[in-house]
Amino acid sequence: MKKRTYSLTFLFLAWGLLAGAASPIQTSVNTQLREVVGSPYIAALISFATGTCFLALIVLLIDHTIKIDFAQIRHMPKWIWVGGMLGVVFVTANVLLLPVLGSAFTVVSLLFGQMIAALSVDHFGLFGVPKHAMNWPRAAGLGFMILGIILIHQF
Amino acid sequence: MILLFLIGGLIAGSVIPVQASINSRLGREVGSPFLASFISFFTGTLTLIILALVIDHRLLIAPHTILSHPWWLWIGGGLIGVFYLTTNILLLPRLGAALTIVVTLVGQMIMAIAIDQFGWFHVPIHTLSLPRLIGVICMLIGVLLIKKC
Repeated sequence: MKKRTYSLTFLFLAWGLLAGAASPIQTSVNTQLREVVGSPYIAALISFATGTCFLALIVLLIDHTIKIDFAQIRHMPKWIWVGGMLGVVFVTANVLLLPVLGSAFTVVSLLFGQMIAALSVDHFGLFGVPKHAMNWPRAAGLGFMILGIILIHQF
Repeated sequence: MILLFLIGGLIAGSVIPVQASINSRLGREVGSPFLASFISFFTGTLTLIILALVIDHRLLIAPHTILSHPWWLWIGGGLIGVFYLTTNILLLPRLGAALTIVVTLVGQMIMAIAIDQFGWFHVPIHTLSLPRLIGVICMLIGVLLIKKC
Protein backbone atom coordinates (compact mmCIF):
# COMPACT_ATOMS: atom_id res chain seq x y z
CA MET A 1 0.00 0.00 0.00
CA LYS A 2 2.85 2.35 0.92
CA LYS A 3 4.56 1.63 -2.38
CA ARG A 4 1.38 2.43 -4.26
CA THR A 5 0.92 5.87 -2.67
CA TYR A 6 4.58 6.55 -3.43
CA SER A 7 4.23 5.85 -7.14
CA LEU A 8 0.99 7.85 -7.20
CA THR A 9 2.86 10.85 -5.79
CA PHE A 10 5.38 10.56 -8.63
CA LEU A 11 2.56 10.40 -11.14
CA PHE A 12 1.12 13.60 -9.66
CA LEU A 13 4.54 15.26 -9.75
CA ALA A 14 5.03 14.32 -13.41
CA TRP A 15 1.58 15.70 -14.18
CA GLY A 16 2.46 18.96 -12.42
CA LEU A 17 5.71 19.20 -14.42
CA LEU A 18 3.71 18.80 -17.62
CA ALA A 19 1.18 21.47 -16.66
CA GLY A 20 4.03 23.83 -15.72
CA ALA A 21 5.77 23.08 -19.03
CA ALA A 22 2.63 24.11 -20.89
CA SER A 23 2.61 27.56 -19.32
CA PRO A 24 5.51 29.17 -21.29
CA ILE A 25 3.77 27.97 -24.47
CA GLN A 26 0.65 29.75 -23.26
CA THR A 27 2.71 32.88 -22.64
CA SER A 28 4.05 32.80 -26.24
CA VAL A 29 0.58 32.30 -27.71
CA ASN A 30 -0.96 35.03 -25.57
CA THR A 31 1.87 37.45 -26.34
CA GLN A 32 1.20 37.04 -30.08
CA LEU A 33 -2.55 37.31 -29.50
CA ARG A 34 -1.98 40.54 -27.58
CA GLU A 35 -0.17 42.05 -30.59
CA VAL A 36 -2.88 40.94 -33.00
CA VAL A 37 -5.84 42.33 -30.99
CA GLY A 38 -3.88 45.33 -29.69
CA SER A 39 -4.86 44.99 -26.03
CA PRO A 40 -3.66 42.70 -23.24
CA TYR A 41 -7.12 42.78 -21.64
CA ILE A 42 -8.96 41.71 -24.77
CA ALA A 43 -6.31 39.01 -25.33
CA ALA A 44 -6.89 37.74 -21.79
CA LEU A 45 -10.65 37.95 -22.31
CA ILE A 46 -10.39 35.75 -25.42
CA SER A 47 -8.24 33.30 -23.48
CA PHE A 48 -10.69 33.15 -20.54
CA ALA A 49 -13.79 32.99 -22.75
CA THR A 50 -12.49 30.09 -24.85
CA GLY A 51 -11.35 28.38 -21.64
CA THR A 52 -14.86 28.79 -20.20
CA CYS A 53 -16.45 27.20 -23.28
CA PHE A 54 -13.96 24.35 -23.23
CA LEU A 55 -14.62 23.72 -19.53
CA ALA A 56 -18.39 23.74 -20.11
CA LEU A 57 -17.81 20.81 -22.49
CA ILE A 58 -15.55 18.99 -20.02
CA VAL A 59 -18.05 19.41 -17.19
CA LEU A 60 -20.89 18.13 -19.39
CA LEU A 61 -18.80 15.15 -20.49
CA ILE A 62 -17.59 14.18 -17.01
CA ASP A 63 -20.40 15.29 -14.68
CA HIS A 64 -23.23 15.10 -17.27
CA THR A 65 -24.70 18.34 -15.93
CA ILE A 66 -23.69 21.92 -15.16
CA LYS A 67 -25.61 22.59 -12.01
CA ILE A 68 -24.85 24.63 -8.92
CA ASP A 69 -27.07 24.01 -5.93
CA PHE A 70 -28.20 27.56 -5.15
CA ALA A 71 -29.76 26.51 -1.82
CA GLN A 72 -26.28 25.56 -0.63
CA ILE A 73 -24.54 28.74 -1.71
CA ARG A 74 -25.67 30.56 1.43
CA HIS A 75 -23.67 28.13 3.54
CA MET A 76 -20.45 28.54 1.58
CA PRO A 77 -17.80 31.09 2.57
CA LYS A 78 -18.03 34.26 0.44
CA TRP A 79 -14.36 34.17 -0.60
CA ILE A 80 -14.92 30.92 -2.43
CA TRP A 81 -16.09 32.83 -5.54
CA VAL A 82 -13.05 35.08 -6.02
CA GLY A 83 -10.73 32.50 -7.66
CA GLY A 84 -11.46 33.73 -11.18
CA MET A 85 -10.89 37.35 -10.25
CA LEU A 86 -7.54 36.41 -8.73
CA GLY A 87 -6.56 34.95 -12.11
CA VAL A 88 -7.36 38.32 -13.66
CA VAL A 89 -5.27 40.10 -11.00
CA PHE A 90 -2.31 37.94 -12.03
CA VAL A 91 -2.73 38.68 -15.74
CA THR A 92 -3.14 42.42 -15.10
CA ALA A 93 -0.14 42.58 -12.77
CA ASN A 94 2.01 40.94 -15.45
CA VAL A 95 0.95 43.60 -17.94
CA LEU A 96 1.61 46.48 -15.54
CA LEU A 97 4.89 45.23 -14.02
CA LEU A 98 6.71 44.13 -17.18
CA PRO A 99 7.48 47.59 -18.62
CA VAL A 100 8.69 48.91 -15.24
CA LEU A 101 10.64 45.94 -13.86
CA GLY A 102 11.75 44.19 -17.06
CA SER A 103 11.19 40.49 -17.63
CA ALA A 104 13.80 39.09 -15.19
CA PHE A 105 12.63 41.04 -12.14
CA THR A 106 8.97 40.54 -13.06
CA VAL A 107 9.36 36.76 -13.32
CA VAL A 108 11.54 36.40 -10.23
CA SER A 109 9.23 38.53 -8.04
CA LEU A 110 6.11 36.70 -9.27
CA LEU A 111 7.68 33.27 -8.69
CA PHE A 112 9.05 34.27 -5.29
CA GLY A 113 5.58 35.51 -4.30
CA GLN A 114 4.05 32.23 -5.45
CA MET A 115 6.40 30.11 -3.37
CA ILE A 116 6.14 32.23 -0.20
CA ALA A 117 2.34 32.19 -0.44
CA ALA A 118 2.24 28.43 -1.13
CA LEU A 119 4.42 27.69 1.90
CA SER A 120 2.19 29.98 4.00
CA VAL A 121 -0.99 28.24 2.79
CA ASP A 122 0.53 24.91 3.86
CA HIS A 123 1.92 26.23 7.14
CA PHE A 124 -1.33 27.81 8.35
CA GLY A 125 -3.65 25.37 6.59
CA LEU A 126 -5.41 28.29 4.87
CA PHE A 127 -8.60 27.80 2.81
CA GLY A 128 -9.10 24.29 4.17
CA VAL A 129 -5.79 22.95 2.78
CA PRO A 130 -4.25 20.31 5.13
CA LYS A 131 -1.71 21.89 7.53
CA HIS A 132 1.94 21.27 6.77
CA ALA A 133 4.24 23.22 9.10
CA MET A 134 7.26 25.15 7.80
CA ASN A 135 10.58 23.53 8.74
CA TRP A 136 14.27 23.91 7.88
CA PRO A 137 14.36 21.50 4.91
CA ARG A 138 11.37 23.35 3.37
CA ALA A 139 13.12 26.69 3.92
CA ALA A 140 16.27 25.24 2.33
CA GLY A 141 14.13 23.95 -0.56
CA LEU A 142 12.80 27.48 -1.06
CA GLY A 143 16.39 28.80 -1.06
CA PHE A 144 17.45 26.29 -3.73
CA MET A 145 14.41 27.15 -5.86
CA ILE A 146 15.22 30.86 -5.75
CA LEU A 147 18.90 30.26 -6.46
CA GLY A 148 17.95 28.08 -9.43
CA ILE A 149 15.53 30.64 -10.85
CA ILE A 150 18.09 33.45 -10.53
CA LEU A 151 20.82 31.35 -12.19
CA ILE A 152 18.51 30.49 -15.09
CA HIS A 153 17.49 34.12 -15.56
CA GLN A 154 20.98 35.60 -15.24
CA PHE A 155 22.78 33.34 -17.73
CA MET B 1 9.54 53.20 -6.65
CA ILE B 2 11.05 50.01 -8.11
CA LEU B 3 10.77 48.45 -4.65
CA LEU B 4 7.06 49.20 -4.65
CA PHE B 5 6.68 47.37 -7.98
CA LEU B 6 8.73 44.43 -6.69
CA ILE B 7 6.38 44.16 -3.72
CA GLY B 8 3.51 44.36 -6.22
CA GLY B 9 5.09 41.40 -8.04
CA LEU B 10 5.32 39.40 -4.81
CA ILE B 11 1.66 40.05 -4.03
CA ALA B 12 0.57 39.27 -7.60
CA GLY B 13 2.55 36.02 -7.49
CA SER B 14 0.92 35.02 -4.21
CA VAL B 15 -2.41 35.09 -6.04
CA ILE B 16 -1.62 31.79 -7.84
CA PRO B 17 -1.46 29.40 -4.84
CA VAL B 18 -4.29 31.30 -3.13
CA GLN B 19 -6.42 30.89 -6.25
CA ALA B 20 -5.58 27.17 -6.49
CA SER B 21 -6.46 26.66 -2.80
CA ILE B 22 -9.74 28.57 -3.07
CA ASN B 23 -10.69 26.70 -6.24
CA SER B 24 -9.88 23.33 -4.61
CA ARG B 25 -12.20 24.23 -1.76
CA LEU B 26 -14.85 25.38 -4.27
CA GLY B 27 -14.50 21.99 -5.98
CA ARG B 28 -15.29 20.24 -2.71
CA GLU B 29 -18.27 22.52 -2.05
CA VAL B 30 -19.86 22.11 -5.48
CA GLY B 31 -18.86 18.45 -5.70
CA SER B 32 -16.74 18.64 -8.87
CA PRO B 33 -13.23 20.03 -9.50
CA PHE B 34 -14.16 20.61 -13.17
CA LEU B 35 -17.22 22.63 -12.24
CA ALA B 36 -15.00 24.67 -9.89
CA SER B 37 -12.58 25.30 -12.76
CA PHE B 38 -15.53 26.33 -14.96
CA ILE B 39 -16.84 28.76 -12.32
CA SER B 40 -13.37 30.25 -11.93
CA PHE B 41 -12.98 30.81 -15.68
CA PHE B 42 -16.53 32.12 -15.98
CA THR B 43 -16.15 34.74 -13.22
CA GLY B 44 -12.72 35.65 -14.62
CA THR B 45 -14.34 36.19 -18.03
CA LEU B 46 -16.98 38.49 -16.52
CA THR B 47 -14.27 40.46 -14.70
CA LEU B 48 -12.27 40.83 -17.93
CA ILE B 49 -15.33 42.03 -19.88
CA ILE B 50 -15.65 44.88 -17.37
CA LEU B 51 -11.90 45.56 -17.43
CA ALA B 52 -11.75 45.60 -21.24
CA LEU B 53 -14.76 47.94 -21.43
CA VAL B 54 -13.34 50.32 -18.84
CA ILE B 55 -9.78 50.42 -20.20
CA ASP B 56 -10.13 49.80 -23.94
CA HIS B 57 -13.76 50.93 -24.44
CA ARG B 58 -14.30 48.02 -26.83
CA LEU B 59 -14.87 44.27 -26.86
CA LEU B 60 -15.22 43.23 -30.47
CA ILE B 61 -12.65 42.06 -32.98
CA ALA B 62 -13.08 42.43 -36.74
CA PRO B 63 -13.99 39.10 -38.42
CA HIS B 64 -11.18 39.45 -40.96
CA THR B 65 -8.67 39.71 -38.09
CA ILE B 66 -9.91 36.38 -36.76
CA LEU B 67 -9.85 34.68 -40.16
CA SER B 68 -6.41 35.96 -41.16
CA HIS B 69 -4.63 34.25 -38.25
CA PRO B 70 -4.14 30.56 -37.37
CA TRP B 71 -6.82 28.93 -35.18
CA TRP B 72 -4.43 28.11 -32.34
CA LEU B 73 -3.81 31.81 -31.77
CA TRP B 74 -7.43 32.16 -30.65
CA ILE B 75 -7.93 29.02 -28.57
CA GLY B 76 -4.38 27.90 -27.65
CA GLY B 77 -3.99 30.14 -24.61
CA GLY B 78 -7.43 29.23 -23.28
CA LEU B 79 -6.86 25.48 -23.64
CA ILE B 80 -3.50 25.58 -21.89
CA GLY B 81 -4.96 27.84 -19.19
CA VAL B 82 -7.67 25.25 -18.55
CA PHE B 83 -5.08 22.46 -18.32
CA TYR B 84 -2.91 24.48 -15.90
CA LEU B 85 -5.71 25.70 -13.64
CA THR B 86 -7.52 22.35 -13.48
CA THR B 87 -4.24 20.54 -12.76
CA ASN B 88 -3.62 22.92 -9.84
CA ILE B 89 -7.12 22.24 -8.48
CA LEU B 90 -6.67 18.47 -8.75
CA LEU B 91 -3.11 18.25 -7.42
CA LEU B 92 -3.29 20.74 -4.55
CA PRO B 93 -5.27 18.58 -2.09
CA ARG B 94 -2.99 15.63 -2.92
CA LEU B 95 0.44 17.27 -2.91
CA GLY B 96 -0.13 20.35 -0.73
CA ALA B 97 0.22 23.95 -1.95
CA ALA B 98 4.02 24.24 -1.84
CA LEU B 99 4.81 21.02 -3.71
CA THR B 100 2.13 21.73 -6.34
CA ILE B 101 3.53 25.20 -6.99
CA VAL B 102 7.23 24.28 -7.06
CA VAL B 103 6.78 21.28 -9.34
CA THR B 104 4.85 23.38 -11.89
CA LEU B 105 7.59 26.03 -11.64
CA VAL B 106 10.26 23.45 -12.52
CA GLY B 107 8.21 22.34 -15.53
CA GLN B 108 7.84 25.98 -16.52
CA MET B 109 11.59 26.68 -16.30
CA ILE B 110 12.58 23.52 -18.19
CA MET B 111 10.18 24.39 -21.02
CA ALA B 112 11.34 28.02 -21.05
CA ILE B 113 14.94 26.80 -21.44
CA ALA B 114 13.90 24.39 -24.21
CA ILE B 115 12.12 27.23 -26.07
CA ASP B 116 15.29 29.35 -25.82
CA GLN B 117 17.53 26.45 -26.79
CA PHE B 118 15.66 25.59 -30.00
CA GLY B 119 14.28 29.04 -30.79
CA TRP B 120 10.68 27.84 -30.87
CA PHE B 121 7.91 30.41 -31.49
CA HIS B 122 10.45 32.67 -33.27
CA VAL B 123 12.30 33.34 -30.00
CA PRO B 124 16.03 34.20 -30.47
CA ILE B 125 18.15 31.09 -29.80
CA HIS B 126 19.85 31.08 -26.40
CA THR B 127 21.75 27.84 -25.84
CA LEU B 128 21.88 26.05 -22.51
CA SER B 129 24.81 27.34 -20.46
CA LEU B 130 26.43 25.64 -17.46
CA PRO B 131 24.93 28.14 -14.95
CA ARG B 132 21.46 27.47 -16.43
CA LEU B 133 21.99 23.72 -16.03
CA ILE B 134 23.11 24.26 -12.42
CA GLY B 135 19.99 26.40 -11.96
CA VAL B 136 17.74 23.52 -13.07
CA ILE B 137 19.58 21.12 -10.74
CA CYS B 138 19.12 23.60 -7.85
CA MET B 139 15.39 23.71 -8.57
CA LEU B 140 15.16 19.91 -8.60
CA ILE B 141 16.98 19.76 -5.24
CA GLY B 142 14.49 22.35 -3.97
CA VAL B 143 11.54 20.20 -5.05
CA LEU B 144 13.01 17.10 -3.39
CA LEU B 145 13.63 18.98 -0.13
CA ILE B 146 10.07 20.31 -0.07
CA LYS B 147 8.66 16.90 -1.02
CA LYS B 148 10.61 15.00 1.64
CA CYS B 149 9.70 17.13 4.63
